[in-house]
Amino acid sequence: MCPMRENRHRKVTMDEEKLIIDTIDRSFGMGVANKVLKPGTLVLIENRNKIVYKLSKALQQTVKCLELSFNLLKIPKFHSFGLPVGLFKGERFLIGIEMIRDLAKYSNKIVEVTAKGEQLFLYGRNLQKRSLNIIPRQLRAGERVIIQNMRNEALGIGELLEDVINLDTVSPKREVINNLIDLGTHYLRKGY
Amino acid sequence: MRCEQRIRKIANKYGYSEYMIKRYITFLGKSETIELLEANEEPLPITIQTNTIQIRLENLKKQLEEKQFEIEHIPYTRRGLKINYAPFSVGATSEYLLGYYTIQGAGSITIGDSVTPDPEDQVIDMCAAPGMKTLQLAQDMENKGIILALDRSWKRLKALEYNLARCGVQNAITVQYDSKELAKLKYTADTILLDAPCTGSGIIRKDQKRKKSRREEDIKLMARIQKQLIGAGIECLKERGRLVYSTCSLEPEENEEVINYALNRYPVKLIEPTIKIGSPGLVNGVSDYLSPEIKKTRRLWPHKDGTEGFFIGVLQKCVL
Repeated sequence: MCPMRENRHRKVTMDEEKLIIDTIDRSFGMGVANKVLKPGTLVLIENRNKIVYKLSKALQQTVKCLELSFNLLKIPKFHSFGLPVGLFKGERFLIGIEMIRDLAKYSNKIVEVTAKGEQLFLYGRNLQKRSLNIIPRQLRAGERVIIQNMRNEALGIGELLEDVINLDTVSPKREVINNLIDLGTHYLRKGY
Repeated sequence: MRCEQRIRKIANKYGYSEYMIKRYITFLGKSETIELLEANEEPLPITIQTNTIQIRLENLKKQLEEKQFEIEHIPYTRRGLKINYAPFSVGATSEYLLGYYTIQGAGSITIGDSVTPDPEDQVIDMCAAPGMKTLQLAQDMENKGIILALDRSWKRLKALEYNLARCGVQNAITVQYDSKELAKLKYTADTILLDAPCTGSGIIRKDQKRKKSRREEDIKLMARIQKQLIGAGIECLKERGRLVYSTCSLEPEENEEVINYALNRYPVKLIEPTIKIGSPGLVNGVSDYLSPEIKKTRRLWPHKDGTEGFFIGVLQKCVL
């Protein structure tokens, strides 16, 4: 008998949805959350973690049908469904790496890096000033940004360490963006 | 005695268990057995499958060529590319991390190509992990419809989830579940993929340990499980729905005999798979009781097709 993990799933509460929307809008711009999360319903699967997924209407209906069977069979239920949005960690919501494609479509907090910068970032490194190609001038230290390569492909999320208007005076080798999460860390070094 | 000595000599030369050589000679003959064993000594070429949810094949090819990869399209596949030269690991490119392709054998790509669900279908992938063929289903469905992706192993399910998320698949539900009990879910599908667990004798080119890792009894054990799985799948198929059965085994007990079992027991018929390579399933020298319809199944052979060894049979449920 293969060991089964107990998973519970439910729709996110209004407070949880508000936290998700606030986190995305605060990080990537007002109104971005509505664009990336709709249409769809946010559902949470809880075991050791509380992971949030975005489900289409068709998926929701199928989940409802299967739920009846799962309840009768008393089996541990769903492992995942739809698109992962992020996870709740304590009182915070952490945006999932899978969202960066959609976030990059609607946010203007995009930083473009050089080819060398792309390589370093995907190896989990912070970004030096000399790795940056294009960066919006209005951004301030502490803000979250989507890191993109020169083909407009989203690579991960970073955090600015300096106000952009001060970057002119900063040495090229100074680290100016903290790597919060990148595709390499998530998909390569986690071992799947 | 001389025959046994010959078998032992061949087994020792190529590093196989003797029972495997004896079996291959029974259903292939001696000279074709040697061709198969020689082919199994050659490493598999590196092949990848384009994820058309994220990128077109031509664009992926161009992007990788800009990084000095040498690539050609695999002609008998829809989305397969063969890497003739790689300046660095194919698993370390940003394109891989962006989910633009999966690393997958040409035989496996061919099997996945043959399922062809419609975009609005309800699909079940009975033994889905790690998700390469599940991704192919999602591509054909253009990320619409529903894929119910099952696997009994929690650890393999994690890999499935990661692969689907990396590749941007949004129409899948993954569940840890033993597909032998599929009927209990009371869920029916238009298309079912059963890429069944097997002894894996077709993928010796990928994993040389398989020359000796299985006993002869394991073939019968796996065949029993496969029959249970195929029966469970057929019961959950809608009328006129299709079940695609595949293994990476060369053993007739896991292949033609499982299909034969299904034809005798359930209201299904065999239809020709839509693949451009391969040979008809084995009918002679295997069992006296095989239906001649078995010729509509397909085998991919390492020594004939240059791929891993695979078997595919496509069953359609009859209208009752």
